[in-house]
Amino acid sequence: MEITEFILNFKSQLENDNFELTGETDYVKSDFWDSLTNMVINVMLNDDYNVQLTPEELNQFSSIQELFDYVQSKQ
Amino acid sequence: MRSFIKSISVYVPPVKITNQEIASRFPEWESEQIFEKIGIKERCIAEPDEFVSDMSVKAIQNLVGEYSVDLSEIDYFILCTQSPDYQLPTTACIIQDKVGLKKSCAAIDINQGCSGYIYGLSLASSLVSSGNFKNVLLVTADMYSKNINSEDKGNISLFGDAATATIISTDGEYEIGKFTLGSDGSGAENLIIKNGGTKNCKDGLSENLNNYLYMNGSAIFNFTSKNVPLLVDENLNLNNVLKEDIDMFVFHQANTFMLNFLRKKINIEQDKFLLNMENYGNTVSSSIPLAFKASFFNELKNVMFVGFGVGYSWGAVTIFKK
Repeated sequence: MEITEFILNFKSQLENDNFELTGETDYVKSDFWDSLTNMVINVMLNDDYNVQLTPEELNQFSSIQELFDYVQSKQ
Repeated sequence: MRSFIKSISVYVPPVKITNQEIASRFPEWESEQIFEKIGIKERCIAEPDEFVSDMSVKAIQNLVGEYSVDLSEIDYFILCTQSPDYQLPTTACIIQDKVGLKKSCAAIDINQGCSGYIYGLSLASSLVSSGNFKNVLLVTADMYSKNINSEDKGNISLFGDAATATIISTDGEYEIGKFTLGSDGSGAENLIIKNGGTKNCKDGLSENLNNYLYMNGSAIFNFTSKNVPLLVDENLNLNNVLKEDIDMFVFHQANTFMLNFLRKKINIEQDKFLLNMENYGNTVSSSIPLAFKASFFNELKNVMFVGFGVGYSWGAVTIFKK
């Protein structure tokens, strides 16, 4: 899996995707991030990558790249 | 014997809580943001001295007023509630007397929440199909507001109180199709009021959150995202219809964020997916009939109702215009 594919998937889950998202994006500190978005991304991780995280764990990563690396390590 | 939904009436209590009021009590929240996120502008809650039996009576009286229903023809009454007036007796019996149902009418309570309307319809439909009963009155009535902590802004924003009354009969507007039902008590702790039953008494302390409604939103979201798409597919297959054949999907009106997520995941067209909760909030077992009421006489051939939540429990049924 490529990170570009992962970012596209991540972005497609968001209600409003009219902004740039890169591996360096600190999603937890971004304007779009809230407890509802956390739930949607969690479902994506579970459904598409078979990765199960708590809402708190998902808030621990400092960038999309870091989350992607974690997901990769679980494949 | 076939069974039909004949009529639906609703009752919404008078006390309105607007997003502006919530935002003024909890300044960290903005009024517009509440609407953007959960699709609710205001929710109605019962008066301090108004209870489930009172709301139910008003919903039944509205049914009589709107459809000229003759209550003496009702031979079975089912009340679906999770907020009964008393631990015992059955609130349905109290309502039988208050509203003037005949004494030969059966009266029972069933305890289900967000899937309660589907569960209630499944029982009512079976009673009519059995040939033993002709006119079943199904009332849904919940008032979660009385069990929400005054500091719990999330649940205050989400939930509203309401009651609805439906007649299920040997004739009517929509023939009731087949039901898909399910339950999974492993999720019980994710939407619960721990105190107040026989296991744990309420201690009256406002700081003890076990006295109040608790919801693990994330766990509920995961449960619905996994189960509801399968539920819809199973009920389509059971009723031998395609998704394209359904003119309107009426899901339990949990919140618009979750509903839009489910709609996209199941791939339902927006104009076939009913969203009608902005003036009510999540009214638990009443949300499906309350949302559908305004569309009841529309030109809809096939409609699917889908309920899911507390328990966990879930259910779906397809109804067909006569």
